[in-house]
Amino acid sequence: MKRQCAARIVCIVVMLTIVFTVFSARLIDLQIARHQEYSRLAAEKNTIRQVIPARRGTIRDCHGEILADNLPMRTVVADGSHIVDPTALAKLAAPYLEMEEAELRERIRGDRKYVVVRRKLPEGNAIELSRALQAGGLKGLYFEPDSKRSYPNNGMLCHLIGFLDHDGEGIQGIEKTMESQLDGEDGFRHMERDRTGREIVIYRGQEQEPRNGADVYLTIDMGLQCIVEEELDAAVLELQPETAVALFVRPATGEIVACASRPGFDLNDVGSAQAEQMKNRAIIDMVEPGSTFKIVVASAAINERVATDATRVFCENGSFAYGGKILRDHHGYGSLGVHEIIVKSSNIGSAKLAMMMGEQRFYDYVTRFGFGRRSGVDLPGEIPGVVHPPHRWDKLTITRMPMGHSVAVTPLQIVMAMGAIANQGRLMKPQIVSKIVDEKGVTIRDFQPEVVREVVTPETAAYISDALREVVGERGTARRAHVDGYAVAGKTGTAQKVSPKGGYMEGKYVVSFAGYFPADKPELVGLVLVDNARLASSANYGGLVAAPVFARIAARAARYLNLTPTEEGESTLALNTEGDRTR
Amino acid sequence: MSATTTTTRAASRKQTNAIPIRPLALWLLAVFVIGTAALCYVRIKNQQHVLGERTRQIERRLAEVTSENQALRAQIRSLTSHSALNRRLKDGFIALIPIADRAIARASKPGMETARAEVTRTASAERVLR
Repeated sequence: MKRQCAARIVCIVVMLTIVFTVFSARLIDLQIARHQEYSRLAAEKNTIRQVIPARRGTIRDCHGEILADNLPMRTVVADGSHIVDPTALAKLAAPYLEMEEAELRERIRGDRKYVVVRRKLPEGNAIELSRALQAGGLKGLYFEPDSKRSYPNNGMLCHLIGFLDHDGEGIQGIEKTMESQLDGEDGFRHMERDRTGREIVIYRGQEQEPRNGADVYLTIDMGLQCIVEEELDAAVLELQPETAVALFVRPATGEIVACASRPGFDLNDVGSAQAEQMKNRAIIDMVEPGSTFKIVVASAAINERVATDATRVFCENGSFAYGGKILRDHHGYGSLGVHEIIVKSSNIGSAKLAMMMGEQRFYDYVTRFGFGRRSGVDLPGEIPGVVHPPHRWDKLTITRMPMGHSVAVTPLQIVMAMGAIANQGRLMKPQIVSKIVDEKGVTIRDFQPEVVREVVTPETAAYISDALREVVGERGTARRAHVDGYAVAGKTGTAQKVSPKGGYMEGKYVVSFAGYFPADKPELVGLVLVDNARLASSANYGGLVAAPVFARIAARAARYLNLTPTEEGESTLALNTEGDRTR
Repeated sequence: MSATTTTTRAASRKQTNAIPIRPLALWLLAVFVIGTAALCYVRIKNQQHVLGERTRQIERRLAEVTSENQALRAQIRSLTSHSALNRRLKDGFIALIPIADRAIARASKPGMETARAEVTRTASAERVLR
């Protein structure tokens, strides 16, 4: 009996031993052998890597006014495994999400753990929805931080600032060229969530703060930009041109202080803009500059001592037969000095100056003034223009190019060339970015003015400047560019529009005025270019169309910059009122 | 009979063990300490959860306030931007009177001659001086 009992006990002990051995083996298998696998599975289920988005840097003008900012938004996501009643949730959330209830219900139905319900939800709506969900005891909708680029000035400076694509990457303007500086680096946080989806803060894991993008300060002065945009808008309204450009630069530094192109678009509504509206015409439009280009040949001739102040050029009384074609002047002139060739804007005089210099030397000066090459401004899409080398010229090019034909340039190149005259012969690199400042306010890069080259000597520049000053005087072609109280120097340009099919378009003109003021100590150099204004051919001249716009901008800019008047004025300065405008 | 009963009682009294007060007290103390420590641990753990939850709520509230603040600042920037102010100026919400040229007085430039510096430096006077 005792032996039987002992056998039973042994049997039970053996069985228990086997059972516990199996259990132990399984435990060892789970806890040690497959530890990593199960840890990963558990982590996948409960641990998430929450991205902390970096703030994109702002774009500011030279005074720190914000031109591009970030508006906080939310991305609403749904976790189907947490949603108990999709119908009730959809009914409650649809108005806040500005969605159809049925559409929302369809989207959140099912067990998918991550469904993006709505992007770019305004912060206010998100907060209200969050409170409503709490009050209603509903769960399953979560809010992720997001942001939207916002441009407080809407369409102002649209071509320069640029905009972002759907992924938040800059695709035009400063947003594109300064992408690497503006864009920050997202941070992250590893965290665990309980079964209801809430974070368990005490198990918060590794955390890395985001590195916010740097702020980009432009050389643009919004006060001047406003003046330029207003006057350009008024001109567009009055003249109904196809396109118009106004660009102003500080000649001593090459800083672009104002730049506007028409047509424009609203940066906060890029979707509705046409491709034509998005072109920054200051750097991607090629035009034949017309007579503004005469400063090149005149400067070159004086600088090379091919002509002096005493040189007289016979202007064939207004009709010069060369290369089987007849080159004409607006009026018939006899012998003119270099000074008068500029003041009277003689085509024949300019052509003869170029012929005196020879093709190669003239071409050298064209390129030295920056034509035919990209200026290197920090804006995307700049084109070099078209300046053919002498071996590709035909017989007429030497007579056409000095008066701004047979050459295609950008408005920026014209301004910078005029700026070289205003800046004692030194060609500056155009500058649009002033400095880059990190999130702590430390300047990480300061852009300094850059002299590209000395195109002509200061004496030559002074000589040409003197002539340009007279262009705006009583004898010149740009009397309407006169600004009361300030000496203005400049040159008009009127060129027939080039047809894309070749040749010129009858009755269509690109007119311009490029100048600077005060002439003695230039603060600003600028260009107003109007493409195909709806005017009769007899009225469509740079001196009649573009020069008055330049004068209005210059008058207001002088007041804004508090420039000391340089000459006796007849009346008070033209002010920013409709009644004061004379058109 | 009674003698037998008395003997049995005496014997049973002899067999009774005395309660070991000291070890018992030690055991009780150990259990108490361990129990208290465990309770403290649970309480601290609970406190951590409660504080964590409060931290989360404060963080969320802070994020909300920051976002609201950013949204409001963006709104202010939009309303005070050059284009918005120009619009309001044109609509007549802001009235600005242009300053006449003769009413502008300019500060003397450093190093200017005393005789010139003493003259009221209006734009008109400046032209005469020049």
